[in-house]
Amino acid sequence: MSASQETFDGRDLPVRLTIEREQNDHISPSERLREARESGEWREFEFFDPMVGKSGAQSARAVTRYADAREVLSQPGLVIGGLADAAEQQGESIAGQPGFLVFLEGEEHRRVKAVLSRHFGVKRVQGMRPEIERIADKLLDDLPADGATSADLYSAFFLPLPTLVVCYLMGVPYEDAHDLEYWSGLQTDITAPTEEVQAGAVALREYTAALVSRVKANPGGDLMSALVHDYIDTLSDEEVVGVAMNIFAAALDTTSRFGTLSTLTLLRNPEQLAYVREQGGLSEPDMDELLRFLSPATSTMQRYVTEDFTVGQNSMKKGERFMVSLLAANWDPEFIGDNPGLDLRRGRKSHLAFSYGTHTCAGQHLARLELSIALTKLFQRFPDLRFDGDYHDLGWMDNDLIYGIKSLPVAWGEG
Amino acid sequence: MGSSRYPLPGVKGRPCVQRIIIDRELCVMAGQCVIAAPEVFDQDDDGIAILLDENPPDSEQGNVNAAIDACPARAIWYDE
Repeated sequence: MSASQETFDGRDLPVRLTIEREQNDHISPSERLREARESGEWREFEFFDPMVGKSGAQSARAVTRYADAREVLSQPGLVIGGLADAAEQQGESIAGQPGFLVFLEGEEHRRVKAVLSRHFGVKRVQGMRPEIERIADKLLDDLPADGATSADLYSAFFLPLPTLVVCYLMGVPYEDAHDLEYWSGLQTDITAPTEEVQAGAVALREYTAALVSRVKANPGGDLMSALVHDYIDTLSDEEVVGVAMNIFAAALDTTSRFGTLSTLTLLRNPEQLAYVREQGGLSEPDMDELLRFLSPATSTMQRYVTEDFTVGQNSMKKGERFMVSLLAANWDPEFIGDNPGLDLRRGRKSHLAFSYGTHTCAGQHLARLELSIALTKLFQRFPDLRFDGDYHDLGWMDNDLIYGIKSLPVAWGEG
Repeated sequence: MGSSRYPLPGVKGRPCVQRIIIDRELCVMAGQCVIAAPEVFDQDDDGIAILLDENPPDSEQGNVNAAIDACPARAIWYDE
């Protein structure tokens, strides 16, 4: 495999340098990312953006230092890239959906984000605690059913958990959730053929539009009803569909994959796991250290610059494109010191796992809450839980914008 | 960010954190300030950051500094 190219199913894939991890541990930033960060330069890297489907290599400058990342993401006039590419494709892309936050900018972005953020504020999400606890308890009750002493925690716990939470929030039957996760998952999968990604976007849109219509006719007490009815003056019908699609797309794979990786990380790090057990579980600040260490959204979306700017030794000109490696920035020694490894004792740091600037993740408080509850209960319920697989054979999602593994085999008791 | 303090009218002699400014237009409703200094910051019904305490005590200085650093929109600062 050459340094600049690899193939998948016979199709040339550009090297995805902004999401590269070391192959020996599958977590830390690759040597190429570290070198770029040490140089301080914003080097040109190739990437592929599944949501807009442009084939062939595109390139963007990669920002890898923590301080640079914050400066760059604070610049005025940044515009998400890929919209023109998406418009050129045959077929519909999720990038064209009104109300789908990640592709919006300026006033439009602010107006729509305000709607989402209102429901996912720090204190507001605490109201979801009882339901999250109920869901986690039920899933954990089911794990040792029929005397089982082993399980795949991804499919049996961490995938159903946020799925059931989303179903609860959005008034969606659980039977429909498999499709929702499948259609959403295509949007971040670099290897998925463009036609399938587009078909997934269309299917997600149609499902959501039908849901919105039903809710309009028959409002309930859930979040979906609030979105439809409270924002009738602020959002267009299409935007309501987009906001709901955004919740489906952003609340499933992110939380499930990060929860799975966090558990694997703790099971493989006895010293940190001992600390968790001493504490009686994981607090929300503990989730922040796991977020920093794992950086599950490995890099930002591609963005265009609309005004020249300079930060230190680097400049960007109008029309240039960049991505930030959140992983490289979160492991930057100038931010985290000489030991970038997992250290739950280090205290809360302002990491970039949820990015920075206007597009900072709106769902982050729900994610932290869900997983601090889930992980705490998991380790309390299974005090002898152990990893029972081959670390290199877990189906590491090296080709996805949201990092994860396809299974987490564990055992307990005599298993 | 300075550590200069001044007693406020009617609260003579009590050390307080320097006056805090929140720019509501810049705020992206990320809630990092609430996490860093929950006694000082909250989110209003629109998710925008607000001050719970216009005159937070000295003991909150560290938390407020952390909130300012954590804000991804750079929407909080100390009045000069």
